[in-house]
Amino acid sequence: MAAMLEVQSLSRAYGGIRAVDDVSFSVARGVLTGVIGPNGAGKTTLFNLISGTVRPTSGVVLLDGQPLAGLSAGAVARRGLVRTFQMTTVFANCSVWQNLYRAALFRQLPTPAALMNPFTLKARRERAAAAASSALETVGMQALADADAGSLAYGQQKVLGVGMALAAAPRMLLMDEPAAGLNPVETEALGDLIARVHASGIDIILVEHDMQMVMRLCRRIVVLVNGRLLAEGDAAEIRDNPQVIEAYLGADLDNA
Amino acid sequence: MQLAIQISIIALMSAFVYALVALGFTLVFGILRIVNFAHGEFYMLGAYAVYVFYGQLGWPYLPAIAASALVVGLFGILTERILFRRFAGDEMGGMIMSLALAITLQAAVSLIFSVDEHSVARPVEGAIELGRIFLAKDQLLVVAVTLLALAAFYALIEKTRLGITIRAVAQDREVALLQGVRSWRIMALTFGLACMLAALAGALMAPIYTIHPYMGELVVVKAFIIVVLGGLGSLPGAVAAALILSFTEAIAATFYNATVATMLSFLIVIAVLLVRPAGLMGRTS
Amino acid sequence: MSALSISQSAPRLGPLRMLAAFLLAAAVLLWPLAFGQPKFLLHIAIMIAIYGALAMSMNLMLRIGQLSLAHGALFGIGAYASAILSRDYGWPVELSFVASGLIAALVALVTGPVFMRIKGVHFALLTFALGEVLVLCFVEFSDIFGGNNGFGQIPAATLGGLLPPTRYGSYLLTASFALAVYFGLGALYRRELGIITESIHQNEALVTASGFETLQFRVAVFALSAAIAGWSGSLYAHYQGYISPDSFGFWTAVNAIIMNVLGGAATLTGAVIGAVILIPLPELLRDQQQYQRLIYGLTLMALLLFMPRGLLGLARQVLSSLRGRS
Repeated sequence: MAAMLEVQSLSRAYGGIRAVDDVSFSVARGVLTGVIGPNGAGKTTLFNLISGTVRPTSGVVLLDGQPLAGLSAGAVARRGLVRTFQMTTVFANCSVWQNLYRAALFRQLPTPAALMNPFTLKARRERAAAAASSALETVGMQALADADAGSLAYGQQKVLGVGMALAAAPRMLLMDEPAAGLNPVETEALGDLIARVHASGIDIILVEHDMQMVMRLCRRIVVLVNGRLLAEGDAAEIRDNPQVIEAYLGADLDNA
Repeated sequence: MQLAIQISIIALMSAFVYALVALGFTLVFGILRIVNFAHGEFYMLGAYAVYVFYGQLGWPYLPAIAASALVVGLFGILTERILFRRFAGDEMGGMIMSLALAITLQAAVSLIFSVDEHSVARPVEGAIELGRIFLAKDQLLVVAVTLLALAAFYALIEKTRLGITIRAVAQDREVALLQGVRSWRIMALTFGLACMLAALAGALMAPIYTIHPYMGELVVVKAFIIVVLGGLGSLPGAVAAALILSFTEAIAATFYNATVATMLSFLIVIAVLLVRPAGLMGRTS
Repeated sequence: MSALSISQSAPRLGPLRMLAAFLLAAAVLLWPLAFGQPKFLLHIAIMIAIYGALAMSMNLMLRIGQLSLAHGALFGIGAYASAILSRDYGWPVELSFVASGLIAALVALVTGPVFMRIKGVHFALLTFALGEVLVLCFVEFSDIFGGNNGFGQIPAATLGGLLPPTRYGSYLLTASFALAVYFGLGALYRRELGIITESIHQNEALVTASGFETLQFRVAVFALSAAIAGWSGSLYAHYQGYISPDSFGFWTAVNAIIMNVLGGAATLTGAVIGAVILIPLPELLRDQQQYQRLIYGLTLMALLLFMPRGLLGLARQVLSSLRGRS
């Protein structure tokens, strides 16, 4: 069976700087994979390349065997590859429910053609409402459904962000440092959520600095340093890999 | 051959004058991030100022153009402080404000001087003969003064502390602020300088053609084309583009007509904006 | 999750608001009958309707954050298309009208995919250049467009005799169009269009990440806006009977923008209010045109400095502060 996601010789150069340099790895179905690396290693660029936000200078990305070359970021998301953002990204001045509904709506009515089709409009709106409902349940924010998203605590906004990604009907989630800025309690709860989402059949790639979370959740880990792939393997292998330890100067891995 | 040289002189004269105007336009955009649609009106004010100083008050020509440039420059500083300061960072708002300013200045001048055309007497009469070529003295004067102004501007920007500070603010306002540069003052001075350049251009062109309250509109269009071609924010780009535009237009106008020449310029602008929004020599900001 | 929330996706006007809308439409269409169909006032009202529609088309562009300086030329494309088709090709006026909006929309669809990638100041400059090129075409290709001498003898729109052949008839036509645009766009703003534009304005990356095609959307909005501008131009041509390139330049687009700024660019109503205020001015101060322009310019500057949300914004502020006290 083909891997869920395959990255082949992916590169992105900005002038003389190679932000991502000839990176290749694959993510098998059902294997929660983490991407780690020191700051500036190119993790965000890698995510941008995979999600279609930035065009690669060379290389290919395959989702479930299908190349993503030339697709717009929106089209990539519609193929099922949805990303979450590092900074909280919610629509302030809207309720939690409205946020989820919007995300689902964008997925159901993604093009002018869809918007202008009077026959399918009602059905699509209903599908969006259903997707939003389901996402609301999954993230467990039913009690906060009518709360203003902008006034939520930071941790709750991040959870809402995950919910919005779920509302967009993903087959695979790219999560960009979901635990950034969260306290240990929130991090724990988020970890549970991610595990639950993964268990429900959605593949996940996680970029994280929090090594505890990475070790807890990820079966496989990819290590990026200076834009290049340093190592790829099972969590335990990576943890004991001397090169990886050196790259981090031992600091973070000691906490795991 | 003769014709070519005659056309070249006029094209050259136009080029340098447009360059002066365009330099001011691009300076304001580069530093203040404002597309000043009223820039042509400062050109027009310079022409009317010389009409007053030289035409009405009888001052000698060179002091008159210097005074015109200075007065309009000071007015420019006032304008920046009162009207544009609060649109720092709001490019759209600044643009709309500049449109309002253009309307107001045109109306004010029309009310004071009437909508009709006025003429300003030539400062020098006659022409120099070089073989079979006649070089009009007043056109030569324009070329000479603009060259001087361009050279002085270059010296200012490259060699003086003010110029270096202006360029620093253009590069990165926050960093410049950290280093103790008073960016508000720089912005006001830069705007004033830009208006001064435009006014000087207007003052120089006043005796060549006639003056009227809407003369700035045509000029700002050319300035805009030049600035886009040369790169919004690039000073050498503006000069280079001014020369290219002037000569292209002179040739197109001679073989086709003025309308086609302008159309061509705009099509090139569209192409440049799409392919290389930074212009031929501009920075991508 | 409240029951109300789903209904937000398809908000229908409550019966009270529908009544208000109906009364508004009736008032707008029928007031001339009560006042003896005054010719001069009707002329102004027709201009308000036409330019109000143009201002509303500009409102669409402002909603997606793109200042278009080409709308005067799009207005012109509609005018010339309708004029040429009806006068030189014998098309019925009704068909020419329909075609004029579609042709303007076509221009938008062709330039859109490239133009709409560009935002901010560069987009304004791009549309400025496009507008100028189009107007220069009207001037240069005088065989087709009549050049600087203009294009005359444009047949009037009579809807096959349905409309009275008087100025009131023209008013009924233009006002109906303006009302249709007002209510139509208003409905769109209340539905998905409004949600999408607001979301894109807040966080475009988030919208895209959910699978939405923002570029296609922008192009579609541009096309709709162009169509409305084109249809307005057609009505203009058939009412005036004569058109010339200087009506379709940069300043026409600027006026449309200013109408929005004046009334309050956040709402459609603001655009209409702007038109209601701006259009009569040159007519009323006909002799004192320069004074009028001076006051216009000064007022605009004052507005931008002190009332950036326009008159409607000011009214809202006043209203909410009154409510706050009671």
